[in-house]
Amino acid sequence: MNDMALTDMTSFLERHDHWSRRVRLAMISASFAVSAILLVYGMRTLGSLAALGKLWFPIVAYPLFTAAFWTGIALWARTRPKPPGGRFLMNADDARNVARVANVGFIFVLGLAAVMIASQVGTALEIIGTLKSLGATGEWVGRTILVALGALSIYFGNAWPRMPTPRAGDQKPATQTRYKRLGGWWCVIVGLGMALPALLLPIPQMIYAIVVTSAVTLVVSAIGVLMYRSAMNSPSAS
Amino acid sequence: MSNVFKALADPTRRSILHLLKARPMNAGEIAEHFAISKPTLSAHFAVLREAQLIGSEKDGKNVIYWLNASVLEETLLAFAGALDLNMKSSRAAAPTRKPAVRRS
Repeated sequence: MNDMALTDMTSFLERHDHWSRRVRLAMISASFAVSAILLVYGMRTLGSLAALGKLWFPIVAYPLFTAAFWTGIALWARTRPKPPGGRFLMNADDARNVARVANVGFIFVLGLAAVMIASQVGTALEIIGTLKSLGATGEWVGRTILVALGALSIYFGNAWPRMPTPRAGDQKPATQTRYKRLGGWWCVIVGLGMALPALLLPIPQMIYAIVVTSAVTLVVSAIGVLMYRSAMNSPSAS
Repeated sequence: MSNVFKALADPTRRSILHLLKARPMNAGEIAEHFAISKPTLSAHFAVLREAQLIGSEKDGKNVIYWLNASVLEETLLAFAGALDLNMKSSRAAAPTRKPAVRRS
C-alpha cells in the first residue's frame, strides 16, 4: 500500500480509550452509589432486611450487570491486535472514519451509562411507590428507557459500516465488508425492534415484543459471531 | 447531505456502489463493468468521494475503492434505485404522442 501522507491516529485513540475507561468507571461507581442509597433508604423505610427483598433487583442486578458488561468489553478490547510498532497509521479516509466511529461509540457508551442509571433509579422508584405518589406510573419509565436504548442502537449501527475496510488480501476484505455491513444493519434492526414496540404497542404486547426481540437478538448475534469467525478462518474465503 | 443525494441521483454511480458492497475493488475492476470512458468514470468516483460514500487509496499504479456508506445512506441508495426503476417503468407505460403535422 502507498504509505504517503499517513495520519497517525495513535494519540487520538489513546485519548479516546482513556475517556471511555473513565466513563465506564464512573458508570460502575454511580450504579454502586445508587445501590447504596437504595439500600439505606430501603432499610430506613421498610424497616428490616427481609423487606429489602422487594428492592433486590435494582440494588444487586444493575451494578453487577454493569460491572460484568464493562469488564467483558475491557477484556475483549485487550485481545484486539495492535499494529506493528503500536502506531495507528492510516490514510485520510480511514482516519476520518476511525474518528467518526470512535466518537459515535463514545456517545453510545455515555448514552448507555445514562440509560442504565436512569433505569436503576426508575425501577427503584416504581418499587418504592414514589412514582404512584407523584401521580405517574412506571409505564413511561420503561417505555422511555426502551426508546432510548433503541435510538442508541440505531445511532451506533448506522455508523458501524464506516469502520475502516481492510484492503490486503490476507485480511479477507470481502468477508469483512459483508459482515461489517450486516453488523450495522443488525444494530439498526434491533434498535427499531426495541423502540417501535415501546412507542406503539400497549404494555402486554410491548413486553411480548421486547422479549421476542431480545431472544432473537441474542440468538442471531451469537450465530453471526460464529459465522464471522468461521468465514475468517476459512481458507477459501476472500 | 445534498452531496449524497447528488451522488445517488446517477444510475452509474449507484451501480458502482452496488459493486463495492461485495468488496473493495481497484478502478480497473470497476471499469470492466461499464462501457464508459475512464475520464467519465473518474468523474463519477470524484462525486462519490466528495459525498464520502466511497473511500480510496493509491496502491502502486492502481487506486483501490471501497464502500463507505452508513446504513442510512444504503437505505437511500435502495430508495433511489427503486424510484428510478418506477420512473422508468412509468415512462415506458406512458402513451407516446405523435408530433402534430403542420399543414400549410
